[in-house]
Amino acid sequence: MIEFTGVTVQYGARSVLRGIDLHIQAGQRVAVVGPNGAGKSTLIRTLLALAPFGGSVRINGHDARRDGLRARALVGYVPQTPFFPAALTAAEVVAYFQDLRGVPADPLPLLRLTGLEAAAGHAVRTFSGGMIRRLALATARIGDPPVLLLDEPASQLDAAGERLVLEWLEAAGAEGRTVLLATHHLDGLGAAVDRVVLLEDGQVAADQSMAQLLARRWIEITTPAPLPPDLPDSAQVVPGGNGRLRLRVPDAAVAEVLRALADRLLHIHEPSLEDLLREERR
Amino acid sequence: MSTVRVLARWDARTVLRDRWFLSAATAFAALTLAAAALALAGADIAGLSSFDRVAATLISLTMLFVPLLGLTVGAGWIAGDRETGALTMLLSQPVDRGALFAGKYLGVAQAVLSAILVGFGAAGVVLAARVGLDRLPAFLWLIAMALLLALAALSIGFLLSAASQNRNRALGAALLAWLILVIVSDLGILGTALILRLPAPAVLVLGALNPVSAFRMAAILGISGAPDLLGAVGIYAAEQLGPAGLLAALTAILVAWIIAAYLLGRARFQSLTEP
Repeated sequence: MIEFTGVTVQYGARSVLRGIDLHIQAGQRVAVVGPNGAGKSTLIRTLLALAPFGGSVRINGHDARRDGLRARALVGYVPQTPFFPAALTAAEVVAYFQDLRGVPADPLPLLRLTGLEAAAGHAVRTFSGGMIRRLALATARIGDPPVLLLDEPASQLDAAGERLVLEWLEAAGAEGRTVLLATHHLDGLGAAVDRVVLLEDGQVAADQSMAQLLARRWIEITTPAPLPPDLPDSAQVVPGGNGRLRLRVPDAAVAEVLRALADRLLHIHEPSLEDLLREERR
Repeated sequence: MSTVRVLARWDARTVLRDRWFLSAATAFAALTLAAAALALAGADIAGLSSFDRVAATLISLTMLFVPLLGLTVGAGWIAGDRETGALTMLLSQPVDRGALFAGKYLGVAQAVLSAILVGFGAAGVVLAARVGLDRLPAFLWLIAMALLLALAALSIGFLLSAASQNRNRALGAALLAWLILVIVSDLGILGTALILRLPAPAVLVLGALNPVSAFRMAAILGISGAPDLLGAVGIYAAEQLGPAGLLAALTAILVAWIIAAYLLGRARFQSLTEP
């Protein structure tokens, strides 16, 4: 459905993307993670021909540059910093984008879906950052596109907004939509994405299914020596305890290990999924 | 509905709610109304008819105000969208860039032309009430030339907008262009003609290439029918081309500015690699 082949992006002397090869199947929900400047947003922008790139980018076989109109017709996009004409109301913005896509309809259902129904008649200039992002989520659903490109869709959103994005991602799975999502918050997504790609320094550093990643979750427990004799074997001692013992415990064995270490003073560290993915790269 | 029409409709709606545009349009209407009233207050002085006095005032006002309106609104439009990210939202849609440029241009043009028609309409009502409708064709000619000048300024504004990274740079370039077109150009040509002792045809061509000068000459000639009002250069041009030929040439210059600046702006916009 989405194919990046040898994609490079160069800004002056700086290489933002360096030969990305990534194939995303129809109906797959892929989260792209990585530090700031890793190239996550740029990767998404190449799909819309919004960044100059080398190599080939295709959506459902349509070349993003040469056949951009057809490619973009398949896509709903939420950029990192969405912006709409400030003088228009929320309902007008949705109607505007519905007209552009050639699917004029009542804008209210989409606004209701994103929790903006009450603000439908208010000018965008009065909106908070979170409300503008909700409006972007509404416009991304116009025409029921089979591909969603979401660049930090939950940033600036309140808890209800974050839940909304999560529900959308879960629904996208059930509806068979293809999703490419750039995010810094992988842990909250859980099973709402199918695959996780780590971008570092403009390259794919790791690429794993979310199920595999979740299955490999562990926590780290630092405890004074000696270890109790009934400690399960799944708890492994790793270096770096700084005078104490440092144990790596798989998620499944955590309860058992904590029972064995019941009376001890513990320090527990739970790495993020992104940390796990980074470890996989090494 | 075609993409161009959709964009034109929504951009016209947006620009008609733009505070700067509304202020400028209101100021233009107030100034034309005041100019007409003031000119009529001193009617029939110095051998000029009431209409001629009003027309002369409106020509001067149009030369200053209409290029400023067209250049600044046009320059701010695409560059402003680019700066805020609104352009990214539009370009992520299945919209052709050429159609996007055309739709935006037509939308802003609708609003600018409406503002000018309202301004001239206000003056026209005063004029009709005091002087009658005898000179209506001449007044309509003046309006037509003002509309062409507005479109030429708008095309130049869009060109500057497509070539600028942000709204402030585009507006700076627009103000510079306004200074050159309205003030510096005529002085420069006069100075050059004096120093280099340019012949009349060269002075004519240099002067008429400026859309503001072309508007002034076309408006004066169309209203008065007297090339001598344009000075020695005008008399020479009328002798060479005939009054009708000169009017056609001046109109063609304005149209050429509209088309050439528009096409250059569109080409620049289409070549943007990082909108």
